[in-house]
Amino acid sequence: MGTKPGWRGSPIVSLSREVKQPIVEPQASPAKLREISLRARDRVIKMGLTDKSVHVGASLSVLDILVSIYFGRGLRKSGDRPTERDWLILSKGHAVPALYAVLAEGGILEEEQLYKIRAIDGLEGHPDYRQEGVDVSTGSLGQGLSIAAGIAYAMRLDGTEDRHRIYVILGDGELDEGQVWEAAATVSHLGLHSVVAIVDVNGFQLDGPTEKIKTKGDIPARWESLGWNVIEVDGHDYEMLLEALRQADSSRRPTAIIAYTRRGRGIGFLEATGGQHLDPRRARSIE
Amino acid sequence: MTLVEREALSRMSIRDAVGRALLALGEADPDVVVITADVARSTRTAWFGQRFPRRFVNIGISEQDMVDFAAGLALAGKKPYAAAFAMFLMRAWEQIRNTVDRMNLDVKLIGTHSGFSDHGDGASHQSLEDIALMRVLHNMTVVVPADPPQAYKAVLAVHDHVRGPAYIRVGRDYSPPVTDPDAEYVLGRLETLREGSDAAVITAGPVAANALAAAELLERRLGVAVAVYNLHTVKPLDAWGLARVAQRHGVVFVVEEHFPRGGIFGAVVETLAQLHPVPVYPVAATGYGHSARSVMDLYRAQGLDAEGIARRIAEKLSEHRA
Repeated sequence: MGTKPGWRGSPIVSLSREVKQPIVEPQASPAKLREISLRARDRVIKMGLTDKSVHVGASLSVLDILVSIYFGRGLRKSGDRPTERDWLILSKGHAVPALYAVLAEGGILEEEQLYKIRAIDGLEGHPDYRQEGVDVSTGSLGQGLSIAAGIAYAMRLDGTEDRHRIYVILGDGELDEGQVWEAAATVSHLGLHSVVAIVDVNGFQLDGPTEKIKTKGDIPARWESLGWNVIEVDGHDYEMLLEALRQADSSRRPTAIIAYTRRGRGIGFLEATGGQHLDPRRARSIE
Repeated sequence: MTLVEREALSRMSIRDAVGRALLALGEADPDVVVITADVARSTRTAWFGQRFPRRFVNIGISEQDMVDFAAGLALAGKKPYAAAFAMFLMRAWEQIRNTVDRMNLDVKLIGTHSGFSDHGDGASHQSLEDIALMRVLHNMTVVVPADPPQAYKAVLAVHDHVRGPAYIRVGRDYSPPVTDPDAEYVLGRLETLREGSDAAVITAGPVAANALAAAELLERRLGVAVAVYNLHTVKPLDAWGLARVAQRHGVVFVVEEHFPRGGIFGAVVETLAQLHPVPVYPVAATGYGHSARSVMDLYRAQGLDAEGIARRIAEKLSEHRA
């Protein structure tokens, strides 16, 4: 029993991590965005067919939002400090296939990596910050907006909050989580205008239609009542999405973009039923 | 630390010492940000807020939001300290687990009013589970200082040496100094508070004072020499230090202001079972507390005052000898 235990602090991975984000043709035109989204949809569906637990429905509803941010508005960097760049937090982490599909478009992920989603040696089933291009680990709903508020406050301390934006993408089902409203009040109270919350209102949550599970009230009014700059858009309309992102860039108040979407957008039977998962046996009909 | 400061520290409450330590950190490190959840005055973080208003956020009564807000600050390169009553910080355990600990973020959590120290407010405010909940987390460091000077030094040491999440558990009130004020504070090293050959007590936090007083009683009344060790760093703990204690004394008592399951008792048993198995007995909380006019009333009711601890140790030792 001779050896002395030394003090071993654990290393921080997060702070030294080089942040990579795909910046491919920001300011791409709506027509170009549609092309990108078609390719990305194709990837999401293929991911859904390789593993039937993949959340295809929620990924397809959020996809145009992600495409608009990454390739329409673009994510920017102005320096090497973590407060000198834009952030994207996919708070509805189960839609990560959409993020992977977009990262593949941006050259951060290899095409073949996508189809090892949820495999032991493949991509994680929810966002994991150890993966290049993923800013923050999520998966447990309701936490992204609070994390964004902390990042925004750090930007304020470093004097960069006018230059950069933190995009937080939430689901409408996620609004059941009380913490979302704790954070919505915090962001507004502190006037953190670098925070842009985007609610993907696809009308469904895991166990069924959102209104059947738990009332969501008047979603825009809830954000407005807390002092947010609220913009309602069709979440599959690039002109509207890009205009909302432009407004958020110049807003002096935090912006909530309420994006009405269709779960399973692009796949008829998923859209109709609000379905979430694909059955590999139906692969042929989907193709 | 000057002599005057040291004098002052030994007379103040443990939460005052933490408030002072945060002020010192604020001066020394411009990246330190302090957050609290509508308990700025109770946790003494208000002092930091007065001195560094830009680097202080009172986030309201929303502990879950507070923890993830701190995570965001850490992701963005700051060094956040989030302080609340230990009991209510536990409300954000899942945020701590899934966001702070899973990403190994440099977030420091300070749980005040721990154990029975919030005597007046009663069982709803007394935390008897927090060490277990924090200790089980993969990356978390857990520190339980015994008295105000040690709390002060512990906060500074954690800041300097722990890169990643840490939980610092402190009480509310004055706790009599038990550590040598001149001693260097070494994270992760078991500290000897009292020598003795007949049995060993492992303890941490303000209840250490009662454990020491119990050892004095046993010596005076029964001539039993009990050593007392301060396990101020519960995770990662001084495994070989504990093993040497077990080897030297053969029987170990764990005195803690916490339920024994998963607490310091749990930590000691897990360690000794592997390195040097000996009988280990808990002297810990026996049930939820109750409001009381003084923390001593609660200690007495739970058998955690000097008399109660001494009685339990004497009973067990006589069983051993029989």
